[in-house]
Amino acid sequence: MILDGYLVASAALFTLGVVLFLSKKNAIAILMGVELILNASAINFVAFGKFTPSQGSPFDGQIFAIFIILLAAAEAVVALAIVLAAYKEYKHIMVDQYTKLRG
Amino acid sequence: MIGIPEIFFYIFCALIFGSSLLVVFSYNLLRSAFALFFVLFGIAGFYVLLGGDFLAVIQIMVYAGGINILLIFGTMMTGSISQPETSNPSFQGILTLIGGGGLLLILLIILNHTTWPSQSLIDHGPTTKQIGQLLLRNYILPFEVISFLLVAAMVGAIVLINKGERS
Amino acid sequence: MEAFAVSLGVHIYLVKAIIMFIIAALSVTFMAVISGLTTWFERRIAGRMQSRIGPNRVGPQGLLQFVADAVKLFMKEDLIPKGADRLLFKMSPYLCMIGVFAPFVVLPWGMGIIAADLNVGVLYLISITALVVVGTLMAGWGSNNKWSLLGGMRSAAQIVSYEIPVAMGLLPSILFAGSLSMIGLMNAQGWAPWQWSAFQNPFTMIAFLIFFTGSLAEGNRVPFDLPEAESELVSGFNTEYSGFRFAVYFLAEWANLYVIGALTTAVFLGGGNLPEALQPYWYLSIFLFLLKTFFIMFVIIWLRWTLPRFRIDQLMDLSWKYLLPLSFIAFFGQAVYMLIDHQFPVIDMVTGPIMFLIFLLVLLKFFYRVAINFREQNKTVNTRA
Repeated sequence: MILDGYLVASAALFTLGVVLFLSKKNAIAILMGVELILNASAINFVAFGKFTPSQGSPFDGQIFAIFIILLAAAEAVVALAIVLAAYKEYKHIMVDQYTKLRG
Repeated sequence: MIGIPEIFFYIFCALIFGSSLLVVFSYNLLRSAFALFFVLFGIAGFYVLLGGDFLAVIQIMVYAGGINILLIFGTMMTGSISQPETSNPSFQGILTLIGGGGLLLILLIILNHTTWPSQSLIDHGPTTKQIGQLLLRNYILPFEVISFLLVAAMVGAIVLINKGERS
Repeated sequence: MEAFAVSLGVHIYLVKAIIMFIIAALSVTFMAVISGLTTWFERRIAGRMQSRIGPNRVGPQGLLQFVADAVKLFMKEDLIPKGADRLLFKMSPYLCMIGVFAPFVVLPWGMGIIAADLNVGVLYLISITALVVVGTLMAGWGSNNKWSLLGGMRSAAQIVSYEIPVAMGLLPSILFAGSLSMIGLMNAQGWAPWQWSAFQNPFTMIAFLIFFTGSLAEGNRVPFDLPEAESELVSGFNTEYSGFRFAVYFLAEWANLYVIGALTTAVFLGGGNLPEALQPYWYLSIFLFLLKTFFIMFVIIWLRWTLPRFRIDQLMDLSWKYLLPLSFIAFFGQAVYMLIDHQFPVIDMVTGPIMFLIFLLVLLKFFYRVAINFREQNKTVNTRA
């Protein structure tokens, strides 16, 4: 079934996001991993909304996806601001070298 | 017989996974950032196939045109320019690959063993109007909360960036 | 046509693919010619404005100059700078070209003549600019050149910031039409100027001006052409490009000019709407649409050769401090206006003609000033002689 196709694609994208999230040192690459994970979940929501819609409101899945996109926007803005602030302090953004806790 | 949606599904799959593999395994962070753009574009293609035309456009506008550009800018401003070839090193590569493979295997097994409810395919036509009405009626509270969150995030980002400059 | 081809035994997908291909080929060919002609158009106007003649050698009045230019560009060597990121360097022109040609899917050509009337047409048109942004960033980064990088980053920052006022400027018209599709937006307006969306009420007028300013900045046109500021950045993000790749950027820039003109025409200036009596003659609507579009393009070119360039901080100030709040006011005002209009429909009949009258008065004042300038100019010339 085509629903399975979307679910498999979403699972694979989710896995790639997790691998990216876990294996990279660069803070921005980690942020990209989070974006991949969020997108995978959004695909799931929309696919379920299309193929197994809830009674009476077939667009709930898409509404969820819209909220996910907006949340991702807020998250990316704050995370990038933190990364840039950290870059000003340390002159690099490799997360494994942030060993000092006090600024 | 394979229909047109299936053909496009596989095209978008190729686009998404070709570029997301580049995102994950490239050692050049800028290339990763540019490849992410194609991943997001392919996902917008998925949304079109799933009957979410408005959602697809929002995905391109906010994700590909906003967040991804922001990531590219962030990449360029954080010193990845000086040594692009090694700007994105990975550590524990084998370990995470094994872990990721295991995770994918588990997910696929779960998918294989689950039976989803009966599927009735209805073409709902244009979605913009219904989504607008849902956002301003049923989901008005989340909508307001998320707009508040966006403003808070914006103010927070400005404060975070300006903090270093003042001291 | 489809049914006929299928009855001949051709596979249905093949027929659809061929029809799509023909429409796409027609639009792209038309666009290439239009953007070529626009270069001639602009250079001739520029020549007039600077008291010279402009290109007039190739073909009648220099009309075929763009063919000569294209041939010259194709013969040039295709250079890729040392140390460039070859993949990104080669990919960028394609992305820019797709980003500029993709809007033609939803751009109308006249009353009801359109390649595909997507029901999210305008939003699609705005969102597809993302391709251009990424393309310019790729070109800037891939060239391994500081001018290119600065130009690319400036361009991206500018387009991303001005996307918001442009989208907000479109919103009052969308509210007025109650539709996102281009045909819906066009049909909501009438043929007469006081029925156009731009002259509907004060708020749509503000929105129109905001949209026009913003789309100038989005198209990297003077006075917002900072990404290719010649005196600072050589040529901006396309400094390192030569030959065919440069020709593609060139083509994309002029095609973008047409896109701005056509979008403005369709959304704000009544599109190709004809009076009731003339509606059987559909080709007139194409003619009218192209006429309005070329007029808008003429205004943009006119601005280019009249105004000086903004500074980058002024540019950002204009977008975030003035255009954005103003566009919120216009959006809110239009919503309130429509609420009141629901109760007293007579307001709708009055505001349109009044706005158009005000516009005519402004126009009259403008021509009056121009006439005075002409007289003064002649006077000084005479005294010198």
